[in-house]
Amino acid sequence: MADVVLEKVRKNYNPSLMKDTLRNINLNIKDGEFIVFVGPSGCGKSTLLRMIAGLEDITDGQLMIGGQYMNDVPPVDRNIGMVFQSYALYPHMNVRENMAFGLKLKKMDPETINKRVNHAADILGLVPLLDRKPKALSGGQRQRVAIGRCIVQQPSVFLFDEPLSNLDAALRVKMRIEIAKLHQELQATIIYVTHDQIEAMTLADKICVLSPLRDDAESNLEQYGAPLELYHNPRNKFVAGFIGSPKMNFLDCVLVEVGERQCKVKLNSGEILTACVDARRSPVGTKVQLGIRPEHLVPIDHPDAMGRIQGEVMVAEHLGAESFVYMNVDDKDFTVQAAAELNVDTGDTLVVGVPPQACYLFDENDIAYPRTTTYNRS
Amino acid sequence: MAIVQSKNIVYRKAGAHAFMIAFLALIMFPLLMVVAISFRVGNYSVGDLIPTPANSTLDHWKLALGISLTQMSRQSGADLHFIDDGNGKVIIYASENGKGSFSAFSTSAFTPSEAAKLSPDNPIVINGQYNPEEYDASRFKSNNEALDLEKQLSKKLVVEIPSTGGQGKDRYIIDAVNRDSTQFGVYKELTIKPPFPVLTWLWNSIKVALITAFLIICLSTTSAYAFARLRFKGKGFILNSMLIFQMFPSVLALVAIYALFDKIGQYVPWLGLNTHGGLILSYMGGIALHIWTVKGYFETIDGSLEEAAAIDGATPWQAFYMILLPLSVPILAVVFILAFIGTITEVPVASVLLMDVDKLTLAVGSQQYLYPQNYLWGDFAAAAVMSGLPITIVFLAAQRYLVGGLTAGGVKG
Repeated sequence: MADVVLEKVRKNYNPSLMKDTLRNINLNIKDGEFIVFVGPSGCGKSTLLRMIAGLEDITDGQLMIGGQYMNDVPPVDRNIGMVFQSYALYPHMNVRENMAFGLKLKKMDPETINKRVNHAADILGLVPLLDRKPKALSGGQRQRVAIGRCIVQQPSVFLFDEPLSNLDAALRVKMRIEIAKLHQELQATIIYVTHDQIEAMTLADKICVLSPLRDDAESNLEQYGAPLELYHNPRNKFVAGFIGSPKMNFLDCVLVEVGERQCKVKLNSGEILTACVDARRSPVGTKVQLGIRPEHLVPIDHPDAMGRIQGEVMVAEHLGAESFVYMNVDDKDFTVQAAAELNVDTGDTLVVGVPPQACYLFDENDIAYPRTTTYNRS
Repeated sequence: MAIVQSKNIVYRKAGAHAFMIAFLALIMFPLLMVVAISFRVGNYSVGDLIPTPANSTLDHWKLALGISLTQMSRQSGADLHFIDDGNGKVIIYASENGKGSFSAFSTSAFTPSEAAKLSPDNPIVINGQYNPEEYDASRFKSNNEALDLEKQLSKKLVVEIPSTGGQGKDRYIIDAVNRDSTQFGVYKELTIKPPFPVLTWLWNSIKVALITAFLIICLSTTSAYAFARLRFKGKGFILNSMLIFQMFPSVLALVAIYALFDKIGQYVPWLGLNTHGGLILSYMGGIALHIWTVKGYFETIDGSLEEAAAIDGATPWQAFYMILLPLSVPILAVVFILAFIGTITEVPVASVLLMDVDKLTLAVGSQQYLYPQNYLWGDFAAAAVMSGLPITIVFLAAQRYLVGGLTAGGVKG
């Protein structure tokens, strides 16, 4: 088992163009941690994983695994195992041969190979399938074989590249739980790439949020921290918008009063809202953005509802357990997660309450002001 | 397809079938014609498609397979004499009336009952020429007796005498001119040796084509792997220029190829002119299209398979032959077949590089039958049909590798 440390890692696919894919990535992954890389398509999260695996070279910076400098070490000697998005099973070999392939290449004695393969098959419930070819397996079974091929190598770091994205929704939930169990069982360091934030929130010890690199940005590592840390205290608007589903709502407003515990902002509609945010680093009159998560909005008769926001309902989705109302506020989309019994229709005007503790505030550079409290709708 | 069609589809279908059958017939006709010519008596290009027993012969095939033909040539002017030697035995001698090409001979004395044992395999051997003057034609016992003897001897009496050339023996057969007549003639057995070593040519062709196809597979898969998987400068340029250069017929470069292999032969004799090594080397140049074909196939195989192999500890070479090649068997079979057929039917380069008759390939050599003074269509047809055999065998053997779905299940597709 091993730590993984990345220092000032940079990746440039095409040196003739000064266009980096990744820049200034610093990560310190401790032994046994479950780390999830999330980010929108094209942010370089898979590239980062492939650099750790050794499938891509590192343009700049250094990679240490278990305290050893790994930049120039071929994948096989990095003591890692990788599960690919496409499974990448060898189609002409059966499950047993697939899992034993790497061990055979290492010239292990057949007895050890057999023991390891049987052990991995046992953990993953693959014993009845050992003699099947990959084409005779279902998607979930194939993914388990791919994981099994990893386990038999007994790597100190597991790398998962969007392993569940090819599975259907029900199977995805099942496999997610299996991977969580596997992590507990193996106590290995796991680095996991996904764009599914439910996977990220549920599996991760720490989440690493990446954004597509802007030319002037110092780094595209937006924030690295525990899932709830990212949820409650996002460092900037990108992380705030990316973590949480449905997405956080943003509204333009102006600071009208700042204080140690809270501040007041004025919306374009004239409504004044209180937010439990320490915005003292900016003067009154600064243009800021207010962020509110859809799940934090409350009915206007709720005791927490200090401020109000009003909008025209565009679409209402009734899911049974709850309702999502998409409204137009100040010409922006605004999502409300409401009780199931809320009875609104397209064209109606809806007024929702805003608890001050639920407000996030971002300055003109999209950097978050520190929040003084967190909020959970009761 | 289970799509509902309007009624006139029936006529269109019938029309399409008729067209297909006619088209097939058009394709099959030349092949059947060549086969027919190879079994027909004489070296004519025109004639019936379906041979009759009367004008069928295996002679062309025998010559092609290297078997000598024996023909009977009537010795004009030869006259047979049956002589009673007075001790119950008979001597036959043949004399020359006037000027024939035939040398007079006489047999040892034998009893009529011994004549029954005679056969082409059990000939009467004459040690030398005899002076026929010693025998008087008046010593015929009786004309009827002579005729009986003649009937018994029909087709059986074979006489061997040392050849006038000094080496070997000439065989003469004494036989009826025709079944109904009692007149006997002397026939000289002529051996027609195969004019060309067709089997050697066939072996040359197969040898060159097999080695070429194998080497082409080795070269085209490895270079296609580089083009499909590696990133390097000028990849697109090299690929495209290979394709464009290949578009020029190799015939245009014959002079250059000749000069090139002349020079190579001065340093490496087994790759020079008039060697199969040189011919194979020249065929190695024509792999651009094969590279494109294989590269296209490699690109359909998910690269993550090799990445997974790399993480499992495979070297690039191991990943290539343990993962990629087993999945590429169908395209390897296709390339092998194409390369094999292309090589075995190639004429221009082979005709320039090869000179000795016993080194020619079948495609080049079979044209030797067609010299302007005499087109030996029959012999040519037999050789031509034979050159189709290895192609057919290779195709049938490779066919079972032309299967789809090898990569199924490996990656999510």
